[in-house]
Amino acid sequence: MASPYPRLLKVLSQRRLGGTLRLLVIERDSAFRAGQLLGLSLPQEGGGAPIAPRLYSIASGEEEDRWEILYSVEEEGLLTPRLSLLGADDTLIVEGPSGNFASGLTVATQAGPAAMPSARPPRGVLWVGGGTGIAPFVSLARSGRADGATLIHSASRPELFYATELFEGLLGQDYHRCCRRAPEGDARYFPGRATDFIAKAEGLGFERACYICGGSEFVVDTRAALLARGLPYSLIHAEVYF
Amino acid sequence: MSDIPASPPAPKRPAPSLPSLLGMEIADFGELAGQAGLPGFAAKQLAKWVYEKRIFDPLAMTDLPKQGRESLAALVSSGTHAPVKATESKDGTKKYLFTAEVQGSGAKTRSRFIEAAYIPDRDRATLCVSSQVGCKMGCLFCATGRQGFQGQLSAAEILNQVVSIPETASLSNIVFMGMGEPFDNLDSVLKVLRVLTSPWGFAWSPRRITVSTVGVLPGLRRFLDESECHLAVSLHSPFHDERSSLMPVESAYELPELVAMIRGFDFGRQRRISFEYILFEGLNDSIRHVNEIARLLNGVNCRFNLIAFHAIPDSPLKPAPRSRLEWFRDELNRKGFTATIRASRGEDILAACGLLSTKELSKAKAGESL
Repeated sequence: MASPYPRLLKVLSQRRLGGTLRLLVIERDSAFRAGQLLGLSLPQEGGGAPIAPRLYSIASGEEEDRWEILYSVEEEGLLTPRLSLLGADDTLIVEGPSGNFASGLTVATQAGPAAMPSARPPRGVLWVGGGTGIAPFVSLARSGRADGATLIHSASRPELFYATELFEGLLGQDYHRCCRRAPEGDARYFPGRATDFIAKAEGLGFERACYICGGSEFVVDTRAALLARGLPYSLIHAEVYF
Repeated sequence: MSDIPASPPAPKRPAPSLPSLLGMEIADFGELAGQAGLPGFAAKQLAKWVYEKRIFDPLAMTDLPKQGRESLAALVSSGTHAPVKATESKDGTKKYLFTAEVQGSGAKTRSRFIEAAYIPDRDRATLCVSSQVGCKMGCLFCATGRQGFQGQLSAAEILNQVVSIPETASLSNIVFMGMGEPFDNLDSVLKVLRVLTSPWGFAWSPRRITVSTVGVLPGLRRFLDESECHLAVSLHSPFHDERSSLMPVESAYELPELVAMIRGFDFGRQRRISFEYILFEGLNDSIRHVNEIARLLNGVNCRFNLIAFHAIPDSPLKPAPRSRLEWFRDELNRKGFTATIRASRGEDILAACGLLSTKELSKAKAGESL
């Protein structure tokens, strides 16, 4: 049973990925659905109440025996510089899992005011992730729920992409990487932002449910780009990092 | 609508490196007194000067020893600064523009703009304050959400909106419904609430203050435990899919969890919980919505504020007509809830609900500094 309450869990490992990206692997003590979040926190240095928990999407699959958290070290942040120092057997404060994003439990399958929730799985969805906002889609893919999905992942530099092999294998031509600082002529990347890609893309299909995950400006701008392409707002769902 | 000069004229901003008197709590005043070589009981005197007499210049605190006053003046800034612009609506609502210093990358602070709305109404005068510069929540219907997030406001920056407008003495109510999500800046907001309601502070009744949230649950839990102020929750739809297309927060904190937390808390007889509900034509204004709201909130002692949507540019949402708001209100009343339609104020100066935004001003400011 999921435990929403704060408790201490052990770090199993931590990997340094490209640039500021890190992958924190922690023990798992409860069930979760792909797309859910964990609240992570650490005690304050020098005592006092713990740092207010920050929410992170789980990046591992539903059947895996651990939780993986993809995050970016923010130089001036309260939490991530300290998270980046954790190693095996260290502990951190974990809340959740919680939330309900892109899980397909209730997906509006038609636009308009009469749209009713249905239990239909989210086939043919459009996923758009900004930076570490790729995490819930990694979890969905690793839970066997990427069938028919199209993924647009945007990052500022090539080294900040994650799970590229997984998505190349699963989605093939339906996996799009947008990178403003991609090496010139590298065909793997669209040389611009996700919003530029959405504005120009042909044949993406703007009549299906879309899930956006990332920072607030990324979400707001991406939503505006999708609306401009005619995707009904009732089919757009977002998870904002805050 | 008209632009009016803000009164008094904007002074030079104090050096931001010094702590602000405004926003200090009694323990902070005690610490400050110690640093200034003043006795411990000077903490109460300091609080009285700042919050009762509203004197922010230590040199004017005449019941303190001269040497102590001079030490204080070197240790603190007032934390107050007048609005840089005021705009008045034809309905009497005024929108005040303030600068705010927010933390940028590194140790540098950046100057950004925030807005507060003063809303006089017969025997009440309400100030709608901002708690953040911009907002992270990204709600589809909100202009502030479109500008993204530029920074957290300190307790002093929030309180300054209260003390630095010309109408400060006439305020009867304060609502945290301006720019930002208060529970995403909870430490500062709770500090402000303590300053506003403590006997050593402004000694306001918490029943004159309402804090509005989209439903950030950890913040809500702390707010309910640590404050006595009224709570307003942005609802806008009782259905998960619909609400999540309007408000991304629904993906992280679902409505049933929010309602369960509210149900589990004893609000007493005085503390009020209200739900804000903007009506969008053909989206969330049907009997299906009324019925689901009634099911979801059955037995919860609450009221509803129905709000006309103030359309923002390029919005796919449409305002429901007045007759629909009245019908929706009547249906909720029939279900046993108290529902009222909130009067729309300050729409012509973009001060009405959901219209506050300083995106263009912030862009211009950033351009200046390039």
